[in-house]
Amino acid sequence: MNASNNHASDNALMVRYQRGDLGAYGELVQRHLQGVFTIASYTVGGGAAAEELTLRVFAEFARRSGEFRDQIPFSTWLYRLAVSVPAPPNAQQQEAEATESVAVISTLPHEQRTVFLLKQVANLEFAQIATVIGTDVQDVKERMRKALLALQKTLQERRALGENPKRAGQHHPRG
Amino acid sequence: MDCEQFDRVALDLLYEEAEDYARGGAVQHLGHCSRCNGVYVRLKAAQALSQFPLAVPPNELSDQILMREHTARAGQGIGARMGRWVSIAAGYAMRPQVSMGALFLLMIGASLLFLQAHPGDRDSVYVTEKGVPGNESDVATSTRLSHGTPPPAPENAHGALEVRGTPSRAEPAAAAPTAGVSDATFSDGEHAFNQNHFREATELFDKLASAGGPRASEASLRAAQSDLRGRGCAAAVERFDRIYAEAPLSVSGRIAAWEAGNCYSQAGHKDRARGYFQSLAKDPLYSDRAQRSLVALEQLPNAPQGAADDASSPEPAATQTP
Repeated sequence: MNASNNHASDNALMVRYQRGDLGAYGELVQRHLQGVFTIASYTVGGGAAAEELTLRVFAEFARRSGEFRDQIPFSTWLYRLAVSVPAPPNAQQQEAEATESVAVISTLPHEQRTVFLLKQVANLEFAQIATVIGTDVQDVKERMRKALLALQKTLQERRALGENPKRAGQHHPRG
Repeated sequence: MDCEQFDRVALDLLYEEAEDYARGGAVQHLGHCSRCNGVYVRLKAAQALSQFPLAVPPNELSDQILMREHTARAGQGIGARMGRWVSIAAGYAMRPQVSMGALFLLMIGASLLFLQAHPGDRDSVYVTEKGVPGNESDVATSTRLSHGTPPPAPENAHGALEVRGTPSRAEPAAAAPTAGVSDATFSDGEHAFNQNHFREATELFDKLASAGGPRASEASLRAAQSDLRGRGCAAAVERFDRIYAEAPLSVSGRIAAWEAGNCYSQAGHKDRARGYFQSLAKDPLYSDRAQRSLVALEQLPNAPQGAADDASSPEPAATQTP
């Protein structure tokens, strides 16, 4: 998944969708569904809450499609929606059922977690992430550096306690 | 590159977003800086540990998303659909390219408007020659003038055109009434002249000329022209001589020269007439007429000796005027 590499064709599809082409909308959904769903899963703990959050993100995408401007990559615009749409009310209950991967990532502060997910999952460039969350590039890099070091520390501690870190890598919320 | 600079590009290097020159500098710095080398190795290890898998969405999720979109669109009213199109259109309208295009079209339109406005279509410009009587056809040849020395021909000649409503640069005071000279009195003189009451007109203009002021020279010229029409060249030519002598380059002086030249020509005083016409030959306004008059002057017989002494003329003389 590399949203930035597809941004030219994504933008073309978005323009077609703005003109009423529902097929273009379906194509964009297929391209970005996994990224949005992954971020939703790591944000609310997976399960039905992640599905509901994903539905809300794409509903917001459809509702606000008229606001999209062709001057920015579509992925930047979409993930700005993805991190700004509020989680459904039952998200806290879902966190209790979260997998190890979600548990590790959830230890990060919100601002670091958002940057980490946009980089690792959505594969956005640092400049794009700065646009998504409304800050400067150096601030994004600093958050990312802290997130990496914090995750490393958490994973090493869990490994020292005898937990299997590979369990975190087998997270498939509903798949 | 120093350590501080390396810290700024370390993550770019890690995620392969660094520019070529930054990457080269960072790699070179890593070769000799143990502190930054340690930082980079630690970040590299953290990145390797932080490779979390992507979640796999359920198959029916994409169908639900498309179904919601379809349902939402079907449920939209006309107002909502119009609002959607207005939003899209507004998005295009806000683009700088559209603004530049609109500005360009505005400039083209404004230019076309200016091109359509032909000068002279609406506001006509009237050009009149000061001191010129309307009838130029009557030429009297019976006037007898006194002899005298022809005036020296001026070296320069200025145009005697005056645009109505715009004072002449050569003689601005003559075109604009000012304090000291009553417009009503000047108008009275013009009225008397137009009514062929030349004596009355002469007296009125003489009063204005003696009162001084910026229109005094113009009044003198009009008095001389009134006298010319009333009593003929013999009475008026000295007036023209004097006006020309006082201001040969002024508008009044050029007109006086033309009047005097004609008077002397009619009286057969070729030398004096030639002097005046030659002085006008360089004037753009009088050039053609002066040249023709010079040619006609050479065809005239010489005036009889002593003719100038007999300056009285029973008939008013009408002169050829510019």
